[in-house]
Amino acid sequence: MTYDVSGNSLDGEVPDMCGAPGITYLFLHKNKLTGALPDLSCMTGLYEVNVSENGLTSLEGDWLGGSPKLQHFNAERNQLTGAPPSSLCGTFSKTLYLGHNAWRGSVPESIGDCPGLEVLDLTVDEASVDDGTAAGTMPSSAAFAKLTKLTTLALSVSLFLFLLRQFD
Amino acid sequence: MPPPRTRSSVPRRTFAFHAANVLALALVQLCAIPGASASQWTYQPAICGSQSCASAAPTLAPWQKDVRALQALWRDCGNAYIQMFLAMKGSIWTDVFLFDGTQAEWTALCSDGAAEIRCTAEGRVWHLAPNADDLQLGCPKGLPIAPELEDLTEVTEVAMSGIFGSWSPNLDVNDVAASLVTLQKLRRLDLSDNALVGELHRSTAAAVQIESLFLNDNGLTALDLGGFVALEEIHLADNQLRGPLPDDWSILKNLKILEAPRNPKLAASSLPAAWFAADGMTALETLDLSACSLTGTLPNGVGNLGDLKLKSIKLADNDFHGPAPPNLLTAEDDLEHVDLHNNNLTGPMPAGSSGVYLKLMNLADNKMTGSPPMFTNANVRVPPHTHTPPKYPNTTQILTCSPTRSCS
Repeated sequence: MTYDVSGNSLDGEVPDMCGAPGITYLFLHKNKLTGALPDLSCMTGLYEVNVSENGLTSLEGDWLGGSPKLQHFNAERNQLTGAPPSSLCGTFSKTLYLGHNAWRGSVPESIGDCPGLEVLDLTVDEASVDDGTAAGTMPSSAAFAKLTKLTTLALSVSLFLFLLRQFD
Repeated sequence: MPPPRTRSSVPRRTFAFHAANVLALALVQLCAIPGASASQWTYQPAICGSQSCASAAPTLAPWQKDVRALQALWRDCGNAYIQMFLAMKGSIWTDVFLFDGTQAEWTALCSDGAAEIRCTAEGRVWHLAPNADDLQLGCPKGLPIAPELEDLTEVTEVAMSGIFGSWSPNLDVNDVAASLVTLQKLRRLDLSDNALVGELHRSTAAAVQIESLFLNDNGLTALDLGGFVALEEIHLADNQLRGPLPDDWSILKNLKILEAPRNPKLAASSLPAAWFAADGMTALETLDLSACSLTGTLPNGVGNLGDLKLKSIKLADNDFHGPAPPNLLTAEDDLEHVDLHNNNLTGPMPAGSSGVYLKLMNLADNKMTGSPPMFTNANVRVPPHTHTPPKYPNTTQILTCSPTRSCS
């Protein structure tokens, strides 16, 4: 089932959507939703989730990596903060957009367990680099080395500015 | 169970035989007065033999009149170039247009595994569905096409999609449909993709028996459907329909499917309230008027669209404003599709429901507020029926109709 309410002015928190376990495409992007994105592990058919361009502050649970069919996850341009979930992607993951948020923590080493990943976007906004909140460590080169299908890796702002900061 | 269909014992004519006939036919046609209207052509349907069809008519058996009707199609719309092309392809239409044989030969020809023409044991045509790759016709404008088609009194379905368009664009829909829509047993008429234009008139379309009408991919500007009282589905996608949408389509009490997306010239029309009233299109299940530049508000009532309870509502890419109907997602338990994306709807998101059969809910790109609708049981079951299954074009029906019994 396709569930698409993107591009409206919805606000408040994302409700518990486990009453709709048959959802395959879940599009909540471009609204004004706040709070946590609930654990969606109850939706075992999910193929694509887009919650970008809202005001979400956290991703609840470690369900992302275990979602059996999920290929595309987009939570960019929210206000996600804290450390990214320890399990971000799984066997079938192809695209993962988490950039333009306010992460404060490391990208988990488990990123290397997503062999099909083609796009990984962790772009950090300039502002959060400037104020020092973008601190954190990148996964080891060994983890990246396993992402053999990766065609797009967007870290440029963070990495570039991060390096610049080392010479301050 | 009818006996299994076997290949005809009548051998297919050879190419050499074809070529001789085709050449003769070509000569006859080349002798026709250039630029003359079809009625002045000297070519006669082959089944009439050496006498004129007018004087032969009283002596023709019903099956021979069916043959003559198909040959008249050729008389009005064929040309030697196409005929030679058909002959080279080994098309069944070469056999049909040149046929002057016996009833047994005809019955063999039209039950010879060809999907394009199917006959009863008596040689009466009940199914006519020329393949557009096999048969394309170039008909003169401004004349009724093959009036003899009205002799096909046993025909239940005619599918002539993509037959007329490329050789004769902009034929008037009334000229093409005139002799077909009144056929007493015709239930399903497909004239899609034929570059037909104009307005279907009431006088043409006193078609009390037709249940399924396919007119999509043409250039029609209006339709008077007042005579189509039995109509169950109509397909009008990609035409040039002009507004306003007619109130009096609400007399279509059997209509289950109304599909007319991508009719941009309906611009600024609104949904007629009469359709969605309690005494409106009471049987309607599927409505698709996407991308028609419609405006106004969506009708409110006890149903999910006005007082109707639809299974499929597709009104995306229009300019509707105001709130979504409050019962949009709750009024119909069997709701399958709701697509209202890319309008200007405001107000709160409608409440969710159980949504057992829901496959698509798209309310994107509006200006609605509130919370995402919640469902309690969404899409956990496959619908028992997506649409009413087609009654005529399926194989079961074909087997029970032919060759041992008629389809009446």
